[in-house]
Amino acid sequence: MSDSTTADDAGRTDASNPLVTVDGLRTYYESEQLVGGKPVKAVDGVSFEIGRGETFGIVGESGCGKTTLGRSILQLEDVDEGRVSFDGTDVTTLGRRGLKEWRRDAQMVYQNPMSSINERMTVGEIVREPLEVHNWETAASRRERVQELLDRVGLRPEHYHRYPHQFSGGQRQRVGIARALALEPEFIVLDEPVSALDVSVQAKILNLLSDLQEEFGLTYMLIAHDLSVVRHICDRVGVMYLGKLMEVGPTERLFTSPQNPYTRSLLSAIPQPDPDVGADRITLRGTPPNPRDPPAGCVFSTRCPFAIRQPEHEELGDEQWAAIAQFRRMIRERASSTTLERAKQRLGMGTQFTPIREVAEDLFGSLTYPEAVEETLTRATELVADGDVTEARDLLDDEFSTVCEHESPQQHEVGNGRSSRCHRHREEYREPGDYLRDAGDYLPE
Amino acid sequence: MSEEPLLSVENLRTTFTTDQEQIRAVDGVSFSVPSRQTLGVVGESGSGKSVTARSILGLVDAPGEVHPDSEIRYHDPTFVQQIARKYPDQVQWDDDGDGFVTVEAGSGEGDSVTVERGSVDLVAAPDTVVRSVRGSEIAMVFQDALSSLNPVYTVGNQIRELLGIHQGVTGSEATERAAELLESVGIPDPKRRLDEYPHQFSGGMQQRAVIALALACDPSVLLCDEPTTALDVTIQAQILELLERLQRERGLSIVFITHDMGVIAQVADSVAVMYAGEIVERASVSRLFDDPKHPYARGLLQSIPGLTGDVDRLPTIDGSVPTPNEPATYCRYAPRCPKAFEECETIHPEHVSVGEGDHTAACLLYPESAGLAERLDRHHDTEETHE
Repeated sequence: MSDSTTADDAGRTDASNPLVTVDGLRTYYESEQLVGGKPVKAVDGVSFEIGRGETFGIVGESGCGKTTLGRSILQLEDVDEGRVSFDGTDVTTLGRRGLKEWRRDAQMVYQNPMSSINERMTVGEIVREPLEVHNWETAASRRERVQELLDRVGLRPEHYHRYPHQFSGGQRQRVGIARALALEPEFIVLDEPVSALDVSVQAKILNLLSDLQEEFGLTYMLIAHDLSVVRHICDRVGVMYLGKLMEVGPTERLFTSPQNPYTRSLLSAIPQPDPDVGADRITLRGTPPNPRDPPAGCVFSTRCPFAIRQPEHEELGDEQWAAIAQFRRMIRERASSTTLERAKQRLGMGTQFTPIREVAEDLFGSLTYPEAVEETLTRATELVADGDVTEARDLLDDEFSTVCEHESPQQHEVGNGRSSRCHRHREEYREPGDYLRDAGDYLPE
Repeated sequence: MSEEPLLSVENLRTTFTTDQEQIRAVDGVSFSVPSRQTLGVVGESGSGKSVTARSILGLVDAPGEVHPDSEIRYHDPTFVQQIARKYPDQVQWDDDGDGFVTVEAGSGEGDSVTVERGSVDLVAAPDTVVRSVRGSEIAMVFQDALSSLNPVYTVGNQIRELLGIHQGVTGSEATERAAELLESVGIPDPKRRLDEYPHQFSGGMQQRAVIALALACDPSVLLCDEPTTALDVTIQAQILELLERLQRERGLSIVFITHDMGVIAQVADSVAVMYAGEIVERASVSRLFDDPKHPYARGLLQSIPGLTGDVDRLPTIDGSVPTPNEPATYCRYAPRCPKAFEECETIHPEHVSVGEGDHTAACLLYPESAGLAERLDRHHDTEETHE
């Protein structure tokens, strides 16, 4: 966001001297079940760096772990593995006192600041609280400091004695920002700071944040699901999906030529405020998998339109392929239903599945397949009809699954300071971009 | 948009009266929705978008009230004929009379009247008529899917109940129909889903189920109030695609309310921009984005981040949306308008044509071809003839 460099400049910040380094961070939420429960891998091996004075964005859909990541970096969550170093110090090892000291330097702005503080306090008290907790100078100078902060974020002195409910959404967010600034931090995690605001108010808060960054030399990590906000304000962006960082890179490059299939799909889903933009977007099927039970290989493999196919299936049409994927999703879902559910189902109690032959007819009836594929599909259908759902799943896995479903992809360097997790970056496969070009042009721009 | 409208709203005014003040949430709004098209209604929170939709379906609760001079006309000939036969003494031919059923083209009378063109005014019509419209002719999809579903009944039961009440379909036939509906909104394995509770559905699935409920009685008009705002962008794309398909397959007319200009650009054929209870600009979607006329519409488009490309600061609109609590004898946008001049505070702007098609804006800057005095006169005059 600094004004001396263009948006395309990757090296705007001092990358050799990062302020925050996150290395292999993992945060798991334990299962509530006593035995046999799996933890939710909210953040699963995330690494990146944030340079001084930089704005680093994290985008992703709800439930991808972006907020947990922000909270983990600030040590508001217990981290299971990995390191977070701030200015060279590993903060995951800090004790209570050390943490308290450090938190002067690292603050957070929440989506709805009022839900996280006492509504019975006046705005002045809210902003003053962190100063008191940290015994900041004298009472008189605290008061003065609060007035100064209110003024700086665009509130008036008389607001000091007002209560949060008397404020509009934009003003409340200003209070939240003033509070975060109180202790002169170096680093602020902004968690969806504008997503609850109308677009015209949103623009004002974004402008304020960028002014403050310039004035105080702040480093930001911005968590957002709104990609246009991220594009406007961030220098570099990380795209998250199901606890993993799928792609990291300088904002403009990432937006104009996304490398990872998920980034591409996400970008192409943004409705463009331009009616002339064609409707050739990639619409992802289904929803993100349950983070308690993530796919075995690449986390995106269950929805990926670029998934690697076995060579003999390369020629299948997109429609044919999508139908198979849908069929497999459904069978996987049935296979993972509990034994009790299945027993009830057999007895005709409770949940009623749509008869599998009907499903198969709906999905494949109007499509033609090579003989071998046809045969496998029919066999799988018969297996399910006979009650062997697991066997049907395994059969389909044997026939159709590839590296995408077995192996979690590495982070590949894809040039210009970017990295992306996708098997297609490996030499033996076609790059996502090339694959797309062959399959017909879907590019968002 | 010269086609016959299916739904038209004329001078709609919905007010909420409290001890202290009267809030004119919707203050003289007019628009029409042509058959099989989508009208986008866009504006910030507090602009009156949702109240407009609720007014159409008679869902405004006390202390809210739709002003009796407002007109909400539903033009489906089959429906008009059915009502005309049921209420013969309410039928007026053309506009001469005070019945709530207007017949413009048709023949016969009494309970054998046939209607080719006409309309029913839902503001003047009795509650029973409005109820027969609600759900069966005009249905609504709300923003928060989970709160439109009953948490203690299975999704299947809720659809079956609706089919039973509105169409008298029950038993296994209702189950069959419910499964078909879920399938038509893209819910895989529908039979199984029927037995699940709303909380077992993901956010996107819930919104699909709500759309299935809205479609259960085969309406002609769908009012969508921010149906994708609570959803992630990839799920939003799925729901928008679904609505597009349903519109094509079922010939639906859609009123799509949103604050997101990107969504408007994608779904709408024509757009109404609302501000503080009034429509300030009406245009086809391409005209609005290519050449917005009203300063508010311009400001709104400019403040979208990421659109303006490489700018460091976003253009903003100063101040915030005022609460419309007095009659509009001035332009409500004037206090925030970069182009405001003295007269903006004393003359209420009326809609004037600002370009091809039905592109109109309510702003004293237009018509551009006229001099200031002439423009002021024109807005002043229109206002007086309105009283």
